[in-house]
Amino acid sequence: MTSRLLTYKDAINEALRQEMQADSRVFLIGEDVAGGAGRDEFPGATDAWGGPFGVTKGLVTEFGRERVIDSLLAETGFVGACIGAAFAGLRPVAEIMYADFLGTSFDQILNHAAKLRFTYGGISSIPLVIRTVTGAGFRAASEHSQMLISIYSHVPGLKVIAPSNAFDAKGLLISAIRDPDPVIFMEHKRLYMRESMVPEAPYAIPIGKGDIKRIGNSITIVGVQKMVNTALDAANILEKEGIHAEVIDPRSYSPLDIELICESVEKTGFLLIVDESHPRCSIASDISSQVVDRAFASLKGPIKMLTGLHTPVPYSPPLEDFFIPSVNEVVRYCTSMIKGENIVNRY
Amino acid sequence: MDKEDLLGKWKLMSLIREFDLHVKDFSQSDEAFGYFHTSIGQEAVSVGVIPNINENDYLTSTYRNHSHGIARGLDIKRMYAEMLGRETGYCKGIGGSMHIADQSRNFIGSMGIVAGGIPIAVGAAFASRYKKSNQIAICFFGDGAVHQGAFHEGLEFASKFESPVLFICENNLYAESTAVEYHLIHESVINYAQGYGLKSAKIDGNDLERVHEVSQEFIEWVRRNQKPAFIEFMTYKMSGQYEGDKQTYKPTDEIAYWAGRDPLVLLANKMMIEYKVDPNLFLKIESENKELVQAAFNAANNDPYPSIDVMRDAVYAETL
Repeated sequence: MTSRLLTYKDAINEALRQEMQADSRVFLIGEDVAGGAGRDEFPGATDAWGGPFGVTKGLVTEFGRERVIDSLLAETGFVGACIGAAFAGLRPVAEIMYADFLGTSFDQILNHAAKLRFTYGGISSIPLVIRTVTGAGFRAASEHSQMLISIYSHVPGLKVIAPSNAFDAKGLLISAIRDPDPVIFMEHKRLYMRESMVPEAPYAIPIGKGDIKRIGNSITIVGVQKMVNTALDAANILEKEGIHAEVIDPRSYSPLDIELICESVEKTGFLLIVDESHPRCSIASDISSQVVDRAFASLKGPIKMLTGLHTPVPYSPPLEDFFIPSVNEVVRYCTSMIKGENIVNRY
Repeated sequence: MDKEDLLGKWKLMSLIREFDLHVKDFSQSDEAFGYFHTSIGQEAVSVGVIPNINENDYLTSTYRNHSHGIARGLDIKRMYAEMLGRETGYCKGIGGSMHIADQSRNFIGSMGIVAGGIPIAVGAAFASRYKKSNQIAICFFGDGAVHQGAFHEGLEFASKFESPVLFICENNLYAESTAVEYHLIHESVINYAQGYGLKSAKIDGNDLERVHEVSQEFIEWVRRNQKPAFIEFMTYKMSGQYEGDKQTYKPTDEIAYWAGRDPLVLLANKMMIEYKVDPNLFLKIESENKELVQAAFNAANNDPYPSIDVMRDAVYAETL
């Protein structure tokens, strides 16, 4: 199988293209997923955007306006319509421009997408994918920088994926499109230009399986989405100090591969969870409680969470930089944890 | 309005234009960060409407807020400080360009979510009626906002609960990259307003005098009758959705047409013909405004960034 370096953004584009080629039921809808709608008569207008980050660029040219649809600025309407279309046998892939716009579509996701099968007796299937964009670090302030993985993961009936690299992004998006249930697929805006080796042919990575990104035996670091890369950078530094960190990427947050994390903790005895989101009722606190429940006896010290703050994401560069956990902090937490030193939580 | 009034309005429009042109340049420099949305081409709406409201009236805006802020009398140095993330900014650097507001003067906020400010302005108007304070709210949004549930539910609330709010749609012909003739089902945005029983009008938003006159009449009507009303101003987003947007979706003849309908050019031409104003005066004002903006930028750029405590203290009104 031929592989080449591909950005996260292009890997997602390729997954969409290959699934659309393979299955005529798959269509895309979202705000400016093509761009320039209604202006098909002059060159340059069609496909003007491909979404604000250009992720869907080129797809309208290949598949036409019937399958790459510029929605209205009305998330409740088009997300809700995707639920109905999924019920009626299509395979919609909706794009919510920023995860923060969850708010304007949440009733349809929370009460309908997640429950349309369950409430009516477990008969129907809602094969819907909602792609959206997470994360801070773009100087985009409080309404365009949130993670919100935990909010979606809290809701039974939804599957939630947040890949940390291009290889996982392609394989998981293909699985999401083929999945019979509603899947929230979260893309981090600061990862779009990051490259990995990605096979050309379509491939599926199972939803709900985590991945060990680096093997070690001194401490387990679980990273959430972009923080996987922060953890890997920290692990390289720790290695020089003789600390062999094992870095785990859950990849899917619902279902969550807690067994993989527990197995690692049973080996290392220490667990640090790094998540740029807020600390309360979070993915980090969820993993922490599940590990305490299942692997308490293996722990050689307290589980630590290195997270963003219990504040909205600020605009000002020094504030936002402080908000997001850094490589140095991961290093400091790990060395202190292994030495048994007390750590004052940052949040 | 007499000659001096008009000259004052032109000066204010020019200040907004020079501010946004500076932002446009700055946004392409290496030291820039964040998202910038300029109001170039839409100045007549802000300058025609906002000076007609009272000092204690409420206002909500959007991420395209620079013109609203300057027309409301915000200090351009503090605006720039906000956009540069400095503590001296209107939101202490926490909000940035998309969220400029001065809550101390009832400029409630600039919402980054399309249509997000509509129900909030309605609520401020509702409170004014409740308090019998004779305040009104004015609420700015674009043509794309009419598709949101918040728009429809906000208009319905205002109509049902007779809230004194003036809805102002700046129809700049684009919802992001999507042309209005594609995204709008009706011929006009006011068709929606009429569906909720609102007094409404559709006006040329690049004709400063007309904007001023109609908005003044509507503002007085809203205040007197304690009911909502709606104006759609037809204008044009001469810059992109955000700075850096290549705007390949715009036809060249459309760009040329609206270049000829630039609100600053329209008013300057009229004043040269009707009041025999020397064209050099406009150039002089423009260059003075350019200097003011550069000075504001320079001063803001020397201000300190906020401390972490500023952010922590901003979360709750009560210290936890």
